[in-house]
Amino acid sequence: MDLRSEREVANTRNKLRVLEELYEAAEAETGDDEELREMELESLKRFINQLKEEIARYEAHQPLRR
Amino acid sequence: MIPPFDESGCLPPGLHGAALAEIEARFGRQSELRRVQMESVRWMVELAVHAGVQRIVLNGSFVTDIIEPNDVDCVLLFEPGKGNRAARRELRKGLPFLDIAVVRKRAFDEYVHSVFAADRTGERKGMIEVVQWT
Repeated sequence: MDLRSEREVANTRNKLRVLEELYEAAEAETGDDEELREMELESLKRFINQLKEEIARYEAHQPLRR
Repeated sequence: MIPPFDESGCLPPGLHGAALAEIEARFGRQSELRRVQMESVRWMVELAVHAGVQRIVLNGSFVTDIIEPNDVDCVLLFEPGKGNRAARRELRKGLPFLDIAVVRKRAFDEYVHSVFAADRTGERKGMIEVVQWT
């Protein structure tokens, strides 16, 4: 889905920040279920990449700003 | 009971618990695409329950009034060290039409209360929690 306004971009950036914080926390952990931690990291990274792509696509179609 | 959609075609804010039969009646019969997506949801729930899932939440265009949704976003809560790891690995391979997030408690709470709880414009919206899966 394409972002259509600065407001949508701002909200997407907020979600991205939350997900990146979760990813960093999960990355730094060690635990008794390494496989589950890896699956969580994979899930978060997939979502993070999706949001980054949406933001980049929006920005690529904006007029150049000085 | 799943509440009616709001004027934007989304569920009202919050988690709305529903059994698979109710989810199918409300979201899984309105188009051929929805029928096959619902089939995937059923496979996912069966696998997730076998794997020892604690909670399952559905989000995305599947739980809106869109006739042909893009996909079904699912977030699955697991407790470390518990459940059937072989079944969990099957979930890791993925299922058609489903974007499955397998997470622990902290991430699950953020998905449900923050990331999935609002649309792109920041408007709060609802999700479906699968209940009574036994």
